[in-house]
Amino acid sequence: MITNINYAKCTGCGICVERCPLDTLRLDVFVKEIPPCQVACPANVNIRGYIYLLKQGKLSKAIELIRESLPFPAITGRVCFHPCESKCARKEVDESVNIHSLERFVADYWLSEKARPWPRLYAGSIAIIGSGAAGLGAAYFLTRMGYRVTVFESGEEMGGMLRTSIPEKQLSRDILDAQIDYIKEMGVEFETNTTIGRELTLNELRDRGYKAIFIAIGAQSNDLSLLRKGMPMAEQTPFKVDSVTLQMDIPDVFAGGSLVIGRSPLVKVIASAKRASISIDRYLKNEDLKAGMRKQLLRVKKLPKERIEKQIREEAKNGFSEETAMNEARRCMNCGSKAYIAYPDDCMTCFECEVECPSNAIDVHPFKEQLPPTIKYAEGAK
Amino acid sequence: MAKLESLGKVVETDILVIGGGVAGLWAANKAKDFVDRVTIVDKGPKDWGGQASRSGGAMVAVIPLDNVDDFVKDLVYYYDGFCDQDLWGEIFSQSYDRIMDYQRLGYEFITWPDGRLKGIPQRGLDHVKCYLGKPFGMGGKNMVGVLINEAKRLGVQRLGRIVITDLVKQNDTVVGATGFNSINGEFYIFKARAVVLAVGDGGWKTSYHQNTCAGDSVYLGVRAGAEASNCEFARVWNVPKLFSWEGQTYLLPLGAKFVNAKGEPLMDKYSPILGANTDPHYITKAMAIEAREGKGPFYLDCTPMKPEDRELVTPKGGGWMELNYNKLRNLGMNFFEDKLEWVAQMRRSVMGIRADIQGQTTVPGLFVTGRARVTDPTVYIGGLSLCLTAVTGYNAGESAGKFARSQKEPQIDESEAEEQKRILYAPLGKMGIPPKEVLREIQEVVFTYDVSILKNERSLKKALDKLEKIEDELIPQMGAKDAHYLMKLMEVRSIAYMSELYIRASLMRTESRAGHYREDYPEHDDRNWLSWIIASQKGGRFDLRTEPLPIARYRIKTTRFYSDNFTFPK
Repeated sequence: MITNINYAKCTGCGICVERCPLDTLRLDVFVKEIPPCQVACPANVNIRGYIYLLKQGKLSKAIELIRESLPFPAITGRVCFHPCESKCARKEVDESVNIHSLERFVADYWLSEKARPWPRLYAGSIAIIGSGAAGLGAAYFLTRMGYRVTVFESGEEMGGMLRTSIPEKQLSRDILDAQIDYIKEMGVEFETNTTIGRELTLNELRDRGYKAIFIAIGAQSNDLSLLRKGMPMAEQTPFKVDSVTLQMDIPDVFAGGSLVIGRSPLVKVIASAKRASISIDRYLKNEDLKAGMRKQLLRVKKLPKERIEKQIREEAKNGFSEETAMNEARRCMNCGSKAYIAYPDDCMTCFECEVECPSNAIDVHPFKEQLPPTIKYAEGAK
Repeated sequence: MAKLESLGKVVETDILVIGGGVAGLWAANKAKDFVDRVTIVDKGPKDWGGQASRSGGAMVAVIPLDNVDDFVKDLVYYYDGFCDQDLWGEIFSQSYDRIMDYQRLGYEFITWPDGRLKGIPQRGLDHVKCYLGKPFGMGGKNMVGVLINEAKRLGVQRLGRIVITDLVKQNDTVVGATGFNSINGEFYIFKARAVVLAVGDGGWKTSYHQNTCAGDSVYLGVRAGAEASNCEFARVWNVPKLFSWEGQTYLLPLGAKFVNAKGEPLMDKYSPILGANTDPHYITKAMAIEAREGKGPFYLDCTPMKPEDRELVTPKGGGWMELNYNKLRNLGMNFFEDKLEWVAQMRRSVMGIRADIQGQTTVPGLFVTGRARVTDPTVYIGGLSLCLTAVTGYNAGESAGKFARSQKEPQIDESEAEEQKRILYAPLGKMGIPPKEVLREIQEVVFTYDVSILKNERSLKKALDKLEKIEDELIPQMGAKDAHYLMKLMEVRSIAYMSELYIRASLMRTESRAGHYREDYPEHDDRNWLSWIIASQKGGRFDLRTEPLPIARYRIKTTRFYSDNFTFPK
C-alpha cells in the first residue's frame, strides 16, 4: 500500500496523479508556496489552482476560483498583458503555458451565466463614483464581501475606459455588457447620468446613508474639482491618498484606479480596486487599515506602454477550443503544489506511482491490503 | 423531457470501444479501416493500457511449422474437453499474423541467436508455447505502448477516467452508452453506430495489482440483453500472503515447490506425474484439502532451484518487481531463501459475454473482445490472454467496423438517458454505507473456500442467501461522497451482480471440470455436462439454461482430461 509522499521531495508534477490506475492520488494546489505566475500577477490570481481544476474538467470550480480575484475574467482574458506568462516556469522546458488564453477559455465558457444575487451581510452601504474598471471592480469585491453598493456614473453607459479606450475588435461590446450585467445581477445598483459634485455632493451621499465612498473616476478625469463642492472648507484642500490603504485624508473616502496609480494595465487597476475594497471593509469594522498591507503590490514597475500595446495587438483572435484548452492546461507544471493520497483505501500496491515519480518522493510499502481469507486455518482444520 | 445536451456531454462517434486495454486498442485500431471516428473510453487513466500493461508481455502463438490443431488439442485436454474449438481454432490461426503486427509496430520478442522466436512450453503441455517479449518479465508496458502509438497515428480518440454504466439501445440495437467522469462527475452520453465491450473479465478487487476489472462485461452486457456464460468458473490462485509476485509460472518448472506446515511437498502426492508444475487451481484445491486436515499454512520453497535459475528469475530492470523485491529484502525477507507464506486467493471471474467468432453478440450493435468475452473454464496458460486479446480485438474491430458502416445515424432517446442519469446519480453526495464496506461483505461470502474452491450445494445455497441479503439491504444503502466513490459504488454493484451469477451457475453445474470443483459431484460428467450454462436477464431475474457444446461437429475428440492427472481424497 502507498504509505507516504515525501513533502520536501515532491515537485507537484502530477505524474503519479495521472498514472495511478486506481485514481488514488490528487494534487494539493492550495499549498502556501505561491507559484511564480501568481507572484507576477498584480491581481494575485490563483493560476495554478484554476488550471488544475481545468485539467480535471471542473470548469465551474475553475471559474469560482478565478472570480475570487477577477471581476471580469472575460475582459482580462482578452486585454491583460499577462505578466504571469513571463514568469511561467514551463519556459525552462519549452514555452510558457498560455495562461492568458486559458483564463479567456474558462471565462467565455461561463459568459452567459447569470449571477445569483449576493447575500447582504452588513448594514452599511457604499457609494462608488465612476463605473470604469476600478469602480466596477470595487463594486464587485465589496458585494462579494456582503455590502450593498451603488455605483454613480456621470455618463450614459457603464464601463468607463473599458468602453471608450479599448478598440471593439479587442473587446466586443457584447462581452463588456455581459460582464457588467453579471455585476448588476449580483445586486449592485447603478445610477447613470449622475455626476458627483453636480447632481449629488459627497455630503448628500453621506446623508443618503453611505458609510464609505470610493472614488474611481479615472486618470484624465476633469471632474475632480467638482467633488469638492459642498464639502466643509477644511476638506477643500488638494486630495491626498495613502498609497498603501488608498484612504484619503477624509476618513470615509477612498480612491483608487488610475486616478491614483496613473494610467495602468487593467489588472493593476483591478488590484487597486481590491485593495480599496479591503480597506473599506476594515474601515467599516474599525480595524487597522494597514495591518499586513504591503505597499509593494502597488509599486510593480510599470511596463513600457509600447510593450503593453504590442502584446494586446498579438492577442489571438479566436479563443481556445475545449480540446486545445485541456491540452494547454496539461502543460502547467503545478509549481509548488504537492501530491497527496486522497483515497488511500483504493491502493492495489502496483508501484506505478513510485516507479514513475521523477523525484523519488513516493514510498509504496510492498505489503498489500489483507482481504477476507479464502481458507481460515484454525476453523478449516478438522 | 430534457434535451440530450442539457443532460451532459454528448460525444458522437462511429464506434465506441469501452476499455482501453490491448483488446480495446486492437479493436479500435482495426475499426479505423472502416470508419472515421473511433473512440476508446477507459475508467483508468487515458493510455494506461489496462491489465496487459502489468503483464510480462509473453504471448502464445502458432508460428510457422507449428500446427493449429495441435494447440487446440492441448487446450481440449487442459480444459477437460470444455473448449470452444471454433473460437480457439480461429484465434490460433491468426495468432502469428498478430505477432508479426506487433513486430511491425515495434514490439520486440526475445529470439534465439538464429532469429527464431524464443518459446517456452506451458504447463507441461505438448505443443502450446508462449513467446517472450522484451524486456523479460516486463514487456507488457512496451506492448501497450506500440498499440497506443498506432492509435495516435490513426487518430483514435482516447478518453480516460470515464466509467460507462449503461448501454443505450434503440429498438433492439445498441446505439451508445452513458457514464460519467470519475474526477469531475460530469455525465457523458456516447452516440455510436457500434459499441465494442473490451472491459476485461470480472474480479473481486483483490490486491494483486490487477484489480480494476469489476465484472463490467456482464453487468453492461447482460443488462442490455446479451448472454453470458462460464459464470461458474473463477480464478482461485495461490499468491504470497503479504505481497505480490509476478511470475510463478517460471518458478515452478525451475524447481520451486509448495510445502505444507509440516514441510511436506504439497502436490507430489496428488499428482506424482505433474508434481508442483501444474495449473494453480489444483494447488489451491490441495491447500484447501490439507488445511482442513490441519496441515496449513503453506509456503513456497525456492531452495531447490539452481543458483543460475534463481539468478534468471531475480527481478531486475528497474520495474515494479525489482522495487518490490528490494523492499522485501530491506524488510528482512529473502524471496528465494526464506519460506514465505502463500495463500489461496479468489481473484477473478472468467465469466464473459457470448459472441460469434467475429465478436458479434446476440444483441445487434454490441461486439465483445478479449477477456470480456467467454473464452475458457479458468485454468490458465501463461501468454494466452495476450494472444486472444490481439486476435479477438482485431476481429471485433473488423466486424464492428463493417456493422457501423451499414448503420444510420444513431438516435438516443432523451428520456432513457435521463432515467439512466437519475439512477446513476441517486447515491452521489448522499450519506450512506461506503462501497468498500459492502465489497468486504461480498468478499467474505464469495471467498470462503467452500464457495470458491471446494464447492458444495449447502455452502453455495448459504452463500446465495447471504448475497441476496447484501443486495437487498446494503447495496441500496450505499452512498458516494464524490465522483471517485461513485465509481467504486458502481463497481460494487457490478461485483454483486457478477457474484450472484457465479453462485447460481456454480450451483447448477453438478459436476467438476477444469477450474470448477464440486465436492458433492467430484467427477466430470461428460454425458450431461459438456454443456455451457448460459445466463441472461429476464425481467429483473437471471435466467440460466444449458446448451451442449457441439462436440459431434468438433474435429478434436476429447480423449484425455487434465484433471485426471490428480487424485484428491474424496
